[in-house]
Amino acid sequence: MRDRLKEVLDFLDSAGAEYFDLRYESIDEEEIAVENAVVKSYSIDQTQGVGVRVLYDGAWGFSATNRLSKDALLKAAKEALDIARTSARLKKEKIVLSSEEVYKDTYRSEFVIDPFTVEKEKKVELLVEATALMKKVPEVVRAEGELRFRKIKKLFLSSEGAEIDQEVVVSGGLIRAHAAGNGDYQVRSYPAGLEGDNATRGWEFIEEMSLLENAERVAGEARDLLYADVAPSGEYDLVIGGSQMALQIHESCGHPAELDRVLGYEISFAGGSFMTLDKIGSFRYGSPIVNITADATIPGGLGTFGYDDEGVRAQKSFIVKDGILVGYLMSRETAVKLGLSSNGAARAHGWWSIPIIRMTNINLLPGTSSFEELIGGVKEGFYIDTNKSWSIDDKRVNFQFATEVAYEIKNGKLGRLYKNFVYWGKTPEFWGSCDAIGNESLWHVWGVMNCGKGQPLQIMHVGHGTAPARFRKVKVGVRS
Amino acid sequence: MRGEEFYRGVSRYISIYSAATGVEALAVARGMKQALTRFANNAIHQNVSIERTTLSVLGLKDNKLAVVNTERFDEEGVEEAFERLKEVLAVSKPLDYQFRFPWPKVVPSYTVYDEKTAKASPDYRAEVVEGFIKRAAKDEAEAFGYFSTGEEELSVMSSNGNFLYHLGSFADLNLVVTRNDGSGYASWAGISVDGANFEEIAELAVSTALKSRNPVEVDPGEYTVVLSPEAVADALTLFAWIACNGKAFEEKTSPAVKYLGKQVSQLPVNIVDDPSYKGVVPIPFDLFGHPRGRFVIVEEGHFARLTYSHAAALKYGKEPTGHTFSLNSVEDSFPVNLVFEPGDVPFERLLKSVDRGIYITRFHYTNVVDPMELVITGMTRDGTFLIEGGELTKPIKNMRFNFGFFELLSNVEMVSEESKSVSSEYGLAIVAPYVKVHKFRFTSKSDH
Repeated sequence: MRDRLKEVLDFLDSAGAEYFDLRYESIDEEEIAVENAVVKSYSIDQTQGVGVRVLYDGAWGFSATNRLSKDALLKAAKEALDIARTSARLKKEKIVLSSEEVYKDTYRSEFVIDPFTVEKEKKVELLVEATALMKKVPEVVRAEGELRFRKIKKLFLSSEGAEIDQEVVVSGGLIRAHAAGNGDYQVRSYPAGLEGDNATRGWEFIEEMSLLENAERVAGEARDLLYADVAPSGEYDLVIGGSQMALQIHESCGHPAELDRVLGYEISFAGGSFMTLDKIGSFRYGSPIVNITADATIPGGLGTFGYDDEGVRAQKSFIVKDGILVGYLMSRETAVKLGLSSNGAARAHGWWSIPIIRMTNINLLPGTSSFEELIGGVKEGFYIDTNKSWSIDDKRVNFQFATEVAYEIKNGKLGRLYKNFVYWGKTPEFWGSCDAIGNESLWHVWGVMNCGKGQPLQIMHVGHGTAPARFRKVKVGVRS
Repeated sequence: MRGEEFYRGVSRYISIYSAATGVEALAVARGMKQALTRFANNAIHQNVSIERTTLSVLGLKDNKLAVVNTERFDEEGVEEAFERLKEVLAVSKPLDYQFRFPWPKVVPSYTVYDEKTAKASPDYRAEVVEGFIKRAAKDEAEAFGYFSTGEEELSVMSSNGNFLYHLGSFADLNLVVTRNDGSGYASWAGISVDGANFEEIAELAVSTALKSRNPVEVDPGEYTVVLSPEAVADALTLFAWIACNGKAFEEKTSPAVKYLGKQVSQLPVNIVDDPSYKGVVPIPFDLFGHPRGRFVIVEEGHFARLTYSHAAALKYGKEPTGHTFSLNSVEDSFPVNLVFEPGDVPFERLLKSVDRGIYITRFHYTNVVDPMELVITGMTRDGTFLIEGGELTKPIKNMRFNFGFFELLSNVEMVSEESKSVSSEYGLAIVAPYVKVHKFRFTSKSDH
């Protein structure tokens, strides 16, 4: 394949393209879904293909194919070139790429046990047992368990001489109890909502989740939610658990910090951003204890890699420092507009996608509080966790999120369970009310598999390092 | 595209290796060539072409199911897929109901292929985009959006002799135009670019952007609203996803538990899934080869029917309705050719009938807050207006809403006779009219 790609590079070079890169990807995937102790789906996927990106006369063209003969690859390269020529007709200014170091390197994500070597039966048995335990609760109508494993191999070659081999292994999963009764339907997930928790780690990550040990508790909480009171409306102090904090950071900091959004490239689909260029260095995003980084180097983070899909080395940079907006997520094309180098955030969903700016691991750095101190500092409020619903406006300001569980806090003590908890607010005011963040022992990097962006839609896996955090006077309930 | 004959060859391999391994199989081949030109700030910023073909093989043995997805269509690739299936089926667990593949069915054909659309060149797309940009620039505005064209093939083949093939063209676009703090929107989807009136699309987005400058704030609360086809289509997608799946009803986790069989609208509203309806991008059969035709979900305001996948139908003793669209989740079902049928009121008269209310061009980032009541939250965007005396009088800042979909249906006062095929967030063409609804609940406002 390497030799074939080099022939394509030679062709593009002779065609006069000013910059081009080729990205071969091979993705092996294994997904197991068990429902009520019955295997609902066991799927094994394999895909491989090549994406060709060409910059010609200051404009992009991209073509991707999973036909891997030399002729098919040359056809894709010609198509990318033709598309770039057409794009050049409707450009305002020539695209210029930031100057970056060129690497010839190899990167392998770290793991202890390759999940593809673990017996299939063991994976099935784990989920069958976990869902059978959940199903012991009569109100649980659907007990779900999922495991997924991915091995992504990439070869990146560019006209600048880059030659980067990468191999990243992803493991993840969850259990979820759906309970019906008392005229209601409620869901409880573990260790997180949506697609659970995921990491660039091996089978050991699944073992550390302790799915079996949590199955009965999760099912019991789903049942308890059926009989719980609906959460009240009003203004309350909140302690937000780690997995819900991941969603909060994702929607209200990660997405608005994408420089392509700031520059308007996403307006027609996901929208723009309130983090406009004039705000950099001076805008108070949150309280002084709020520090948020983009860090693709955290071991095991789902947004961790060696190099992004433009060949820029993984790195760490601040988005918010001491509560002030200080940086963006950038690609080569966008960084240069600010006179900066890329911070390595150009990523593609797969060989079939063009790299666009994506989150890596976007993290709220830990504070100093223990969990008891976070709860102890609340006279009247709620401890909430696990995302259930999310929505935010097209500038990423007005948000409304809902969680699976809410526990009352009265005079610094956790109390009864409430259901259907919804909170809402405006991003800078919300983060401005953050007065305590959990310490390092509470900090965890959550892996989110399903971040959607771009047209055609690209689904990216990203990470969020968070600890529980406390916020004052947050609006709760949709009718308030 | 690889074409029907190619897949007939693949189906022979499926039969050979099914017999050799004792694994019954149903295979789905999907091929797509999609080209998409994306523009922002009055310039093309992304321009891509993607060709991809996949083969999914669903294997059945000892009442156990497994799926292998591959991109290899040669004999060796199919043989390898069956070897993997055998490996997985050996460790899988049997289903708790008797599973079997359907017998071959006769499927109606729809004329759905337009070569001009399927093979549209980058230059053609650029010309259309240039038209949008020039129209926006004429009013010192900026255009953002995408224009996508392409072709898609779908083949279903099974070891018990089923073989179906479908080739279709598709095109869709959206256009946001901004000028200062004003913003407007238009979208379109269909099977042929000849069905799109690009000038009208540009005119609508530009005029809305110009009208929506300098928005004023209004207080949250209950208002009579006029929803555009785009907003109706957005809500309809969530209705289809949450309320129409027969499996969720059987598990009592669906709002259909409360609303199925009830009169949910006082008006004779029809919500259907219909591949023969003008404006949709038709899919004539589902992934199990069940033929698809007009399927009425809400009939004359009565929530009449739910969709059942092939597997859910076996499990719950129902008839399959032709709505299986995932081999990884065979019990779930989804209507893919959604239509909210038009009413009999001209849009102008519908608008005139609103003494005081709000016009919504588009919803943004909708999501379900309470599945049992199908409470939907989201924001307005790209042109929200106060209606006074039947006229759009002032642009207003965007608002957050929380409404129950069935509450909305029961509050529908008028449905326009005009309808549009719009591009939905999930990439499906949905046909929807303008709808007037009273007591639509806004719960907060935005800064823009």
